[in-house]
Amino acid sequence: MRKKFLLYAAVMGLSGITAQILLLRELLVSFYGNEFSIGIILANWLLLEAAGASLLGPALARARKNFSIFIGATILFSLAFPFSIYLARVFKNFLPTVQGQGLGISAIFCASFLSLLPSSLLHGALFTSCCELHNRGGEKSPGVFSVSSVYIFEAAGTLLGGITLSFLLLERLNSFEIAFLVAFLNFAACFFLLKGKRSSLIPALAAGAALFLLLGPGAGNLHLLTARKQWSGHELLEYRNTIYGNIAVTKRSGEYSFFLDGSLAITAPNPDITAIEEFAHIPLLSHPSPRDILVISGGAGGALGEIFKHGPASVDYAELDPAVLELLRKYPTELSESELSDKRLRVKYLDGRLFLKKTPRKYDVILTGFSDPSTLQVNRFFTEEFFGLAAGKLREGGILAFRLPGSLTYMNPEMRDMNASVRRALEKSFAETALIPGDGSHLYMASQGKIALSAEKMMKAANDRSISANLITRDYLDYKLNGRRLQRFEESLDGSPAAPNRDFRAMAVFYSVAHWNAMFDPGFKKAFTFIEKINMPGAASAAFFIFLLFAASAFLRKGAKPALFFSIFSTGFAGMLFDLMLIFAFQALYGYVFHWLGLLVTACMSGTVIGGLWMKRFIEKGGEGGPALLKLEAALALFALLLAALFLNESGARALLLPEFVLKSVFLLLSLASGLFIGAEFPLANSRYLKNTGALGGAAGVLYGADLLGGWLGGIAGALALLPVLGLAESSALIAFVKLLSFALLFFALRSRLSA
Amino acid sequence: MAEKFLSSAAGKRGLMLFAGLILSAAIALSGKPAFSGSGETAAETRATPKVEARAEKEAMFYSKLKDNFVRCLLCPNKCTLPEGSSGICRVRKNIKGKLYAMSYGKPCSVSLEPIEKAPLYHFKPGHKRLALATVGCNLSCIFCQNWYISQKGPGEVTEYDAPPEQIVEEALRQGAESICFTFSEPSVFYEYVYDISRLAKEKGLMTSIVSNGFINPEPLRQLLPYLDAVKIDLKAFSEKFYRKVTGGELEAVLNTLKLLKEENAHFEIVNLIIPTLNDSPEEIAEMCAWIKENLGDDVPLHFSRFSPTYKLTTLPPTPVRTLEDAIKIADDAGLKYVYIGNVPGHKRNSTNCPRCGKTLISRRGFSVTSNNLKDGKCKFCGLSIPGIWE
Repeated sequence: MRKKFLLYAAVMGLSGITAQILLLRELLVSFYGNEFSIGIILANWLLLEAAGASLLGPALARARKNFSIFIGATILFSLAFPFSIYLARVFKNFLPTVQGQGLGISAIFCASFLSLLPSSLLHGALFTSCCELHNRGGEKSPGVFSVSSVYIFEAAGTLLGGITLSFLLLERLNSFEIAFLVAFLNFAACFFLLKGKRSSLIPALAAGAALFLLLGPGAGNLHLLTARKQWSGHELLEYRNTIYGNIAVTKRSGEYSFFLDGSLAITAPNPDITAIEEFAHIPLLSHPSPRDILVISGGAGGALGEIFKHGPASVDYAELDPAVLELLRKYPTELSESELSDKRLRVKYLDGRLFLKKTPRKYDVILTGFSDPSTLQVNRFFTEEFFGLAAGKLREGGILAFRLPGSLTYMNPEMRDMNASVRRALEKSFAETALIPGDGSHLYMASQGKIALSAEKMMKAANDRSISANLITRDYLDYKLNGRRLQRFEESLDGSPAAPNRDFRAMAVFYSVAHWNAMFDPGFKKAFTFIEKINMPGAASAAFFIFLLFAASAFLRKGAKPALFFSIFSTGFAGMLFDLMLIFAFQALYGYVFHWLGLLVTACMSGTVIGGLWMKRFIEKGGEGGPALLKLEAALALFALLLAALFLNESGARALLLPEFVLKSVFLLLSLASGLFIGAEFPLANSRYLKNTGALGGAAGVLYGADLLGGWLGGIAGALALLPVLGLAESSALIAFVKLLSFALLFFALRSRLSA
Repeated sequence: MAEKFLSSAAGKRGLMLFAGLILSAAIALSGKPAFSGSGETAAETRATPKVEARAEKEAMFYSKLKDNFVRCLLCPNKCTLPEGSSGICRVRKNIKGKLYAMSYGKPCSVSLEPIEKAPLYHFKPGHKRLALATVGCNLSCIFCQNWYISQKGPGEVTEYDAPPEQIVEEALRQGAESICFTFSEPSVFYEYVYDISRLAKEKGLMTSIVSNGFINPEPLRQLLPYLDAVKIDLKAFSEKFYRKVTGGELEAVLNTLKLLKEENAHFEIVNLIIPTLNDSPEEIAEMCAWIKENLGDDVPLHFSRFSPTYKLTTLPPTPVRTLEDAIKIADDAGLKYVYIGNVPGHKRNSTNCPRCGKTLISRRGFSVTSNNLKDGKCKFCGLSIPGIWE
């Protein structure tokens, strides 16, 4: 019987990670790809799990007919999951906003909270009730093993689920199909639990229903129906998950729009002519003879066509996701057909930065087509490290050009700081830089030689090359290159306090999020101004203050409970932060490669499993929980310090000199190690906790809750404030500091107990 | 029973969670308007004058009520303000029972622009205008291109000190032939517009205004003698759109247009077509019919292409075909001067003679490439073309 519960726990783990990742992706599309929302979504998931685990779970376990309720709750969860997907897709229809209107933090918070609620609350409850019932299955075994075993099996299920989802399912099945598959597995697990009893008929039937929905048209229809609701008024032609993200294609009155992760990327056959022509022509007209050109993203959809007008010898185009071009070809327009079939075009399906690093070629002009460094993935093209790389791949007189958000009318502080941060990063590698303000975006050019911003020269070049474009006239160039305006914008950047943008310290992302926030939730503006000023002493003081609260509680209660709570809480915090840090760093160095992210998560989870098993053995052999816990805390602090040393900014460049497989293995090892700590600490602390309280379901719930709450804080504070503003190294140092504090607290709390 | 639950650890947590939920709901539903009083950000490095120092210019259209309340009479919002508070536009404030124009003499945006960018196509083509604005606006369109200044109040952006004389001097110095009040909403910095315009006319400069038309008749009437050209945004032809998407009223804007016609002002209309929100052919047809009937068939009408901006971040740009369909509807309704905006290179950027069909003014983007008007008439057939040409 107990073993069946363990099997159930595995299925539960699988369900949990599947629901979490799937709902994350769905909500991300609904929030138009806003990366900050990732932190909020993960955090809310954890919070709701914690609530389910510490509130609902114990209540379920203590109820009279708890076994039947347990089965019922499982069935409910299996229904809640597809319902959550439904909510995630259609919630905007219930808001007072109009279609295409963006969302602010509070809307994102509430929408994710409410969409996730059905699934995560139930999932959390199922964990604690599973622990309780597992324990009841074998009265002779002490409670502590129960919780640890369940935890370990759940982790194993998570591992399996994460890998299967990332590598197999996401590309092949739509979200509803995956949800029904998970439902089927849950019902099957219930069936095995009830096998032999009459009531096992219910889960059997439910399993059958789930299978029918999965294999039949049910899932497919639900998927299309809800997907269409997100683009009402437009015809939805494609809605696809690739390993890089989500692509949607809509059509209205003969105009196609391509969305990446919910964010508009390409419009064909009539693009934003001003944006395309300025981006392509101004840099190329500034170069006397642009023969070999590299375009990193943002080429398809008009820019390439304009570039070809200059008669280059070759145009290399790096676009990460092959699906983008595939879909452009599937819905051809004159615009895309002509530019994609040009013989001089060489498409590379590779991350642009990776391509640049590997290519032996040098270019006359390099254009990066991203328009807003709003995500970590894109930020890598606006940093000191990238600009240094690009500088090395330009021929003499070569020009690098890119855009940043901006306005001709006024430069507000967030935009100004973002522009300044990137500009200062640019100046580290280029002798000459130029800013040309524009409507909607500012154009930046950089070169080692002088950049002549002369309308006369550019017009002459345009005539020599027989370029006919809608915007390029002498009049227009005079207006665009107006000296007074250029100077005014230059001066406004000077006043900015922003630090240069770096891979491991993504200030541009922070300012981009602050800018977005200024649009939608100006009430939070003060919060962002505050966050911008976060520094090590400040953060450390805040952490110390929280520590004092727990210390006071421990002193007053004369027990180890607060110390244990603080230690698990801060480990949960550290765990989430390590997770984000390693993903962040990996993204900074390699770009978004989904399979590798899946491997990192897998390594972390493996570590958790191994750590958990190791500790279980240790406890079974009668090991003392207290001293072991202390050693673990100290080890965590040292690990954090090691990471801090590794993440120092300079190490990024040195790291890239290592052979690729060595560096990637290092990442896997580090993920494994961080998982190990977290996996080991929970059973240890739990065993310690139980010695003090004696109650099982409640204890498991409380500590589980502490773990998850710590992770919640790590998710929100980490993604937004600590990692971009403090940077990776300092955030790691901060964790080390917090761990030292919890070590101290635990030491004193346990010492008094030991001597008693 | 309840007490026991609440005093337990689980109960306390539950309470916190519940409180958090309520708080979140409260935040979401509060729908805090964009402005939250003045709030200087620490990132601002240029010192902006203290609020009291702005209280120099008394407003021109308001009435005093009892208890030191005032009612602003400038625009249909007709804000009733207790002492110390500002109107919806953020720039008109009640200080000790008097209404003051707080952004007077404090522009935040001043630049030299082509007149075609307003867009004003029948107003001395090809000339340069000095465009300026202060903060503030009496509407809150979710697609505002200039939200950084329109949805802000005094002190929230970097402002310059520039009394009217200085603006006029600047215009002359930069070689501008006209001064244009634009970007945010000129109606709300009415007194500044008024004083600059009077001065400008004395110095031989022309003047124009780019406005949402959400202004009361009397103030508009008094300003018109000092304005040469007006561009009005007729954002949609439905009250529902105006209410939901801009926070204004259609009726008021239509009244403004009728008044402009009555006073024989030169004005042009822009209609920004936003997919799914105001692009229905029926609505456009209604609008064109109304224009023809109430304003005549020779008011220049521009159908502009929408691009994602401000809060409408992911709505795709207007399909060009939609714009062309709208143009056809307007042509069929008998309107003579119908243009397309934000589609550089399109043939409907140019002005054609409604009688003989020849191209009168050809434009590429904002550049005028040829002008076939002579004394305000078509060079080829002599038809008089409405506008200000000299």
